[in-house]
Amino acid sequence: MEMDEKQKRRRRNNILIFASLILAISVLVITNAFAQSPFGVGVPERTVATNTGITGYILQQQAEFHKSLIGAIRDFKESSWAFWSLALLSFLYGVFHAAGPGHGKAILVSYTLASGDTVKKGVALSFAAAMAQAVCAILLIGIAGAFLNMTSMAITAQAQWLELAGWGMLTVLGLVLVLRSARSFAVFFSGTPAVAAGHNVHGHHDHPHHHHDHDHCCGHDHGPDREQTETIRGIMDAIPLIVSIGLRPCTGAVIVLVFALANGVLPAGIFSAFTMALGTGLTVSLFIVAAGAGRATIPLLVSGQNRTAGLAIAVLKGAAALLVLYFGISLFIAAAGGLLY
Amino acid sequence: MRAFLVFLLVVFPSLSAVAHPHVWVTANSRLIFDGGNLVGVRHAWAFDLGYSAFAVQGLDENGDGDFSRKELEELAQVNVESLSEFDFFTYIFENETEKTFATPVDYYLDWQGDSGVLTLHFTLPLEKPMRASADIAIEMYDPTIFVDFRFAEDNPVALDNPPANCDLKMIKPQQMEDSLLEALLQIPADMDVPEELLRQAGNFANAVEISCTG
Repeated sequence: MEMDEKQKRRRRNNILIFASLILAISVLVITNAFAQSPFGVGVPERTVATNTGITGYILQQQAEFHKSLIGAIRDFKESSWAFWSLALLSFLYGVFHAAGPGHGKAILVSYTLASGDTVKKGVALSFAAAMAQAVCAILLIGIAGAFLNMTSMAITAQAQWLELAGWGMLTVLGLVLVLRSARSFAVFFSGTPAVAAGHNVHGHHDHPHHHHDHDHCCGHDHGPDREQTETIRGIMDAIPLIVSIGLRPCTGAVIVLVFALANGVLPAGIFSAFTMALGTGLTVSLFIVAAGAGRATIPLLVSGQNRTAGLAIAVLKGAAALLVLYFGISLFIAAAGGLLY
Repeated sequence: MRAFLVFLLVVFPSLSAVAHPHVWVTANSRLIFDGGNLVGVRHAWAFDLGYSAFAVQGLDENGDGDFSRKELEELAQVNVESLSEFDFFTYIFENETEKTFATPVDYYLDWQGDSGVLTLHFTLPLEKPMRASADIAIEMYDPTIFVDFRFAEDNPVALDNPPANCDLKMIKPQQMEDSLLEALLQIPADMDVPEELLRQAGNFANAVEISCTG
């Protein structure tokens, strides 16, 4: 089937998008490789700066937040009235800090695109992942710190192993997504009616004016248990996704928790970690919404034939699935390198 | 096109996340002279409360609520070994040419219970002693911005056994230009910072300039 100008442009745009994404992520992952604390304890997040003009300002603000947070824990020790300032600071820290690496933004955006899920679901995943990170930090410090009285060196090693496991899980998820996507393409090009595996790609409609909503397949060609399949799949995807992001706790939360523990106010640290997660979830959700808006414009831009719109969406999802797999592998290798070092 | 722009919006902010300090160090340093030559630099790095509490976690073996030098020995060893990969964040120049330090000696960690501050003490001996009459510059900073270094307000740099007539100048760090900052932040963790960039960044580091005519 011949593609007209608009569709050619659409395909070129898709290629541009993925090329820039891959380039961006490669740079990010490479500079994160073998990130090591100069003091041998603690898990730093290395990163790439591209902002112009306000880099120095952002640096200053993030640093100030971190210091204020420690101060707030100390204040809380003196007087419980400091509770509100602790809550606000923790929340704001989460909001700003999530702009940094390690909070699963790129992963969640890619996953949402790969699975074709709604933005609402993506937002729910963002908050769930943020909470998982908080829980991980709390469990790590609660068990390792309070219970087992582990040293900072042991805690650092533990955190690195957790991180490694998380990225391993993400790799498996990426593989699953890629395989699903491959099956969709196979079905699409063979022209047979889409079945459960490739429910978002329509190979058999040749009515140009027939409208399809690409988030839900047309009911008349597929089994009655479609929604059930989607739901089960959704949950089975969501859990490894949330856990894989959650296994890498936020360094800020870890330090605050240890400080709270050392000062005998661990509950305050726990509260702070959860409040931070709220802020983090919010920031990451914003990225999901932006990505969702981007994806929603695709059917708007591609007029006429559903087959091409379907193909565009399938390409987008396929590339996003590859991205998730790529993240999993790259981050796993980077984390493994950090451990072996 | 709109989708492409939205993608850019999503991707680039996530990359613009800047590294920020997780550790703050207040430094007191000594320049050690011997027979008219500079032979080494001794640092006392006091860490911030957050890092101090984290680092000493689980090291109170005898449970007395205090962390003795012996109890902190292993951590000090880990610190020094890790810092060697980062050149101890200390750079020294003789007449504008960079010189090297040998492996550190006399290192230990000290814990102050009442303030909750952990301090790392160590000496960086020079590979080759430097004539005190040369233009000597010493810079202390972390190009990766993980550690924030400041010299202490009181007695930031002391001179041990100096020759006569030493002119000491303390230079506080200025705000780094964003372009330089970004260039530094792009260097991978396992790569050395190129000398030229180091020199440029040094202008914004904590610096000590000294020259003695005695």
